[in-house]
Amino acid sequence: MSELICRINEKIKSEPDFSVIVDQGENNSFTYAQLDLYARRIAGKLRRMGVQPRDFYHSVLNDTSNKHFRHVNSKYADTLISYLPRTGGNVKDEIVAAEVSISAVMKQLNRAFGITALMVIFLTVVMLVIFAIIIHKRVQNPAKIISQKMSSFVHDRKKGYEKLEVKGSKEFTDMADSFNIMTGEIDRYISDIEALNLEKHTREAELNIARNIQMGLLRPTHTDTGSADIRAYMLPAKDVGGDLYEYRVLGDGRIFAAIADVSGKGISAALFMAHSVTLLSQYAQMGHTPAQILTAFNDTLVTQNPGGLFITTFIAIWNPESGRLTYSNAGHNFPYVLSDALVRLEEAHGVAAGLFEGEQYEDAFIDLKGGDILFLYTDGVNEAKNTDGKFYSTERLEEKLTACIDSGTSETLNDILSDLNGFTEGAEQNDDITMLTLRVKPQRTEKVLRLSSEIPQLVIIKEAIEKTDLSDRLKNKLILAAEEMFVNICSYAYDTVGEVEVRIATDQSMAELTFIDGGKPFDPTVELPDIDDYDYENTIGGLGRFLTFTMSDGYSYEYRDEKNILTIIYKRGD
Amino acid sequence: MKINTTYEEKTCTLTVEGSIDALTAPELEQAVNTAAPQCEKMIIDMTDVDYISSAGLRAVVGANHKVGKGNLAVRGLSTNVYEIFRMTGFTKYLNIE
Repeated sequence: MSELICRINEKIKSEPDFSVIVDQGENNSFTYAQLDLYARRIAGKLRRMGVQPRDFYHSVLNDTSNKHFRHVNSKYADTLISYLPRTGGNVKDEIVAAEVSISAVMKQLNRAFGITALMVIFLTVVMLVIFAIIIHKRVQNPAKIISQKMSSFVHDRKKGYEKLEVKGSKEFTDMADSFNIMTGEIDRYISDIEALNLEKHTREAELNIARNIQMGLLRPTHTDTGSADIRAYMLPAKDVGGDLYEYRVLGDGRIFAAIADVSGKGISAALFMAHSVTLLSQYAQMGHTPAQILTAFNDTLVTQNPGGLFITTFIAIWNPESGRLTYSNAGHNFPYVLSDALVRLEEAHGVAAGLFEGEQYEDAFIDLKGGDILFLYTDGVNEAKNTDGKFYSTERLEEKLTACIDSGTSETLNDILSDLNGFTEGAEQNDDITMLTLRVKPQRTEKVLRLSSEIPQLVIIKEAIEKTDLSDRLKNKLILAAEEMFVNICSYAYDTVGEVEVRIATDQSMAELTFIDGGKPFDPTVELPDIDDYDYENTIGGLGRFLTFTMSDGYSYEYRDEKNILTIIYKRGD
Repeated sequence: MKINTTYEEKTCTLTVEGSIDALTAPELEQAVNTAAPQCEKMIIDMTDVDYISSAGLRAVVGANHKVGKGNLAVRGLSTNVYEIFRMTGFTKYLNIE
């Protein structure tokens, strides 16, 4: 049948005017063109009737009884053709043909499908956008807000913190809540710490003031009273200390010096110390002896001591006229006197002050000469620890003080301090360190002796030298020189007896011997014997001059106004 | 100054105490002069001598002359006295015990 349609189609195109159907009875005929026209009309009618190409096709295929519909699919066309025999009336063998182009139908179908597909894609995109917005609102936004808040909380604390408000998933609101709690806690801790810091600073500032007041109560660290050179040092272990030192020149020219250590540390000890300084100073100026000062001081402390503190103290009063040092000790460690040897002042040692009412203290004495040093200290010195936890110790202190005597230094306090600092370097200071030295200044004195040139007069010179404040070693040198020079003058200057003036002068640093005679000009400083090549058997002169000048630290001779003037100089501390 | 002289066989010992200076040296010279003829060897014990001047040294040299070189010994020098002996070269010149 499809081949038939093809052929008809070909005929329609090639011979449209050929009569293909002839009704012999009525003498009617149809050309191919007419056939095509009718077929198209029928197809149009069918279409308008709502017949869908597929339906039609299916009904044709499924209706096995109806053999008049055929699907033509060839290289020429993809068309559905229907032939219907015309029935009814008296017309027989009349065929009505209708044709539907599948490709046209498919075109329509494709268009409908395309629209649907576009719709689906559009809807999908819309849904994705909506989803993205939801995600953005519920996840990304809260995360961003939290992150910003955290950042500003950390980096911009001055701005203050506003509570974090987050709308979003439960995880995020929970997180925001936790973050709010955490920042609240941190803020509270920080303000607590700031308050503590402020309090600490205030306290430190107050302690600083207290320390300044306390240090202000103490006398300067260096004073030259004329007769004595006083040096003091105090380094509190904490902000305020319980140690004290005090000295002053009393009305009668005597010098009062004290050192003390209050039991305990901190504010209470510092207050007690301040009270003690005032009391000691007051009693000292009342003309008491050290024992009387201590007795009165102790009685006052006992009655005004609710805290039960006590104080160890050493008190001394030095009289520059007599050179006598009077002292008394209330439980304090033994001070030292640096003289020709190291002397530990162990006498008159009583109980610490502030403990027992009516305690009687005693006085002890020691004579100081020029150059002698009284050394007072608190146990912060000998009990200072190094990094190994070892004490500086009294042994080391005594060794160092002895070394100071040997070197003849007047810088005893500085020497001890630098040795102590070297020892404790890097270690923490446990206790107040306090020291005081009183150095008796050797005065410039000059003794002038006018003697006759007779050897027995030598005794007078020796006595005068013995009375000086020089060390024994130096005295020996001067006595030897005086003897040798005086004997020379007695023996050679005058033919008979003449006059000899001997001057013995001393000051803080040196001693000077001067011989003046009106005899024959003679310079004893020249032509000294050569000891390495000395003839002991035959020559026995010049040894005295040799000894004198070798043992001195300088000498000079001049002949002036018809007088021999010989001066020999010795340094102290050698 | 005090001098105590003791004799033991042919050795005499002069024990000196105090200072040997220009004033006391003549006493030592006197003691040496007294003792020297009675002994071949002489010992001067200076354990208790705290001071000696060139006058004292001359007395010691004199004693050395008296008893003859090598027959005099000096003993018991204190630090101060030894220093004088050393400076004047006497430690090399005399027998120091």
